[in-house]
Amino acid sequence: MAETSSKKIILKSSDNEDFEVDEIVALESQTIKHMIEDGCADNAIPLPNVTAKTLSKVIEYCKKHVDVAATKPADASTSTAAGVAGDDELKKWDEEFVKVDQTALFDLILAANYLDIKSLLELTCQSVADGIKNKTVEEVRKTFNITNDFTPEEEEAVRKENQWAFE
Amino acid sequence: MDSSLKKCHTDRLSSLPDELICQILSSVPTKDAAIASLSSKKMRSTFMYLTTLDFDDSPISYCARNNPQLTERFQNFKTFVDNVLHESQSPHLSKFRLGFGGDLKIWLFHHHHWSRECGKHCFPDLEATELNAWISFPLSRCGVREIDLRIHVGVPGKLPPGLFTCETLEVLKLDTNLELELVSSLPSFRLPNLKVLQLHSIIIPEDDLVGRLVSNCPLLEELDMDCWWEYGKSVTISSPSLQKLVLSMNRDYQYDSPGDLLNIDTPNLKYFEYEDILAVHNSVTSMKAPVQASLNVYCDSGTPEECFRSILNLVKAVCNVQHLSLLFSCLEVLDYEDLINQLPTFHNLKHLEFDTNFSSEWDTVVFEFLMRSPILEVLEFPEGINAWHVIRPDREYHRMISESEPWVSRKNQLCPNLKRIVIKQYRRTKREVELVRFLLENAPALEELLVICKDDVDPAVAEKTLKKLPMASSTCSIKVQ
Repeated sequence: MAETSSKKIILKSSDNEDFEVDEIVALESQTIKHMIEDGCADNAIPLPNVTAKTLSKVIEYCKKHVDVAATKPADASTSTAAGVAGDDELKKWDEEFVKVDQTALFDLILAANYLDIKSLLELTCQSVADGIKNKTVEEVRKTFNITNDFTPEEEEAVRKENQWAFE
Repeated sequence: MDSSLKKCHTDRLSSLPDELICQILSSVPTKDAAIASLSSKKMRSTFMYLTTLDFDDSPISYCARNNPQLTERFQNFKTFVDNVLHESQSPHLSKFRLGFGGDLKIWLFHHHHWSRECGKHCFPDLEATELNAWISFPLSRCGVREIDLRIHVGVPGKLPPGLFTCETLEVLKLDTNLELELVSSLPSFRLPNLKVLQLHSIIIPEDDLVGRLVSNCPLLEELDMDCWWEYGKSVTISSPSLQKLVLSMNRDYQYDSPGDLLNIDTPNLKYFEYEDILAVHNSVTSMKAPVQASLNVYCDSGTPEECFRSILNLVKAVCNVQHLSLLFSCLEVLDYEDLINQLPTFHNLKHLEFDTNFSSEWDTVVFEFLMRSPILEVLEFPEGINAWHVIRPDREYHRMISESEPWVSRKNQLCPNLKRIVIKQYRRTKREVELVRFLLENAPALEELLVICKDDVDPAVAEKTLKKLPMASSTCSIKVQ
């Protein structure tokens, strides 16, 4: 729906691609919000830490969340039937959104951190966290390509201290 | 999600800034974080800065009598928790969760009797000083927002009162057999940010404790209580901010006293669930826009009139609700001559559930409700339809009801918006079939009738009978399972 005040902001990725977005979508990022408030946003806002590929995903996320917030009826709290249904739908969308490969996921984490988008950061971190649950140490190392720099004695000592966790 | 972590050949995790690794490790149970932290020295170093600690040894039941190795396991759990708390360097802690000691519900039911199954002996033992040190740990760090304790010990001591003066707390969940004496005797509570309060299993030593707590929580949105009340004779809950109230009253019903009073003043409540076995005088402020209400009551004492007024009061207070469940012996209690004059109209009611099993003459009550629910869309009988008559065994109810005013003039108009009917525990009795016949005749907009048979009933045969019944709706499908 066209709105009367749809100011546009231009975001420039690290690889020099321009993205035009509604200001309200850009404001999901606290970092961008501060830049706008400080008057640095007359031309394009440069985001040297975010590639075009990642930036377009971030924008997709922010757009969806802004859209859903806008269509929520004024009196719907999280405990009304309508409110819960809307939240469930958004949750499902978020779940699909983070089904990306590891490289893209970590890029999203770093972007969400740099752009200070709290909900996206929580979502992406939880997605990585879910990959840690119910695994052995070897499985964690394998999944994330972590090099073991413990000596066998050091490793054994830590295991012993945390025996309950390894049962 | 595991499946999304497709093959990648560099260690992106370790190269994240420390605080992000910490955030990730803080999003899993501490047990998993400990395992992951063993993968490298870098991961190990971030383990000390976790901002969420989640220790959960459940659902182990410690029946130490039968399982000596579980006692050893608890020692390992104790060592683990002690070590992690000792090593924790994070000045900031946002969430603290601690769970051990098995399921107390079995013990609680037999409050005044020793259960032959799990009893006190089954819970682990921990020195009071050690346990208090664990519980107080989150209070010693900055900014804790959520504390969730599920603690059942063999010899319960007293819950540290500091939990109730923690100003940053937003969520407090307690499921414990520790005692509330020290909390009860606090001169004041300081919980200005508390939004969610959950109290399970705890014994409430004084009736005014909960009321006092609630009035000290100006932002409280959710109160969930499934506790044992030492008295439970005069309970007041007053909160303009409360959105959700789950109240399961457990008290010794030998305390049969006519002065019992339940006072609920929560005008903005959206979700109300009430479970009780005592008829009490209640004063309930009308809720402006409740979404869902469930009344699960049995009246163990009081005259039929007292019980009736008690339940009717609750029904009146939630009459603006969208989804109403009347369970246990609500229908039996409401089957009282004054119902016709007193029952309000349910202008917003879309979904109605009835438990008919404790009432033999539930028909009248059901129909009085249907008459007053003009926009009803879903009607459910989750516990089946009671086929037993006591007073009029030879009368088919639909004749009894539908051949007298005002039913006759309302024929085919009783449920103009009814779209869905669900009947469970179906046994193919005459009374059930008559109910279905009546509903089919009176629901011109019906889209689906779902019938779920009891195990020993053949769905195909049941379906045949039901499909022969005349239907006012041309678009209705009948499914029998």
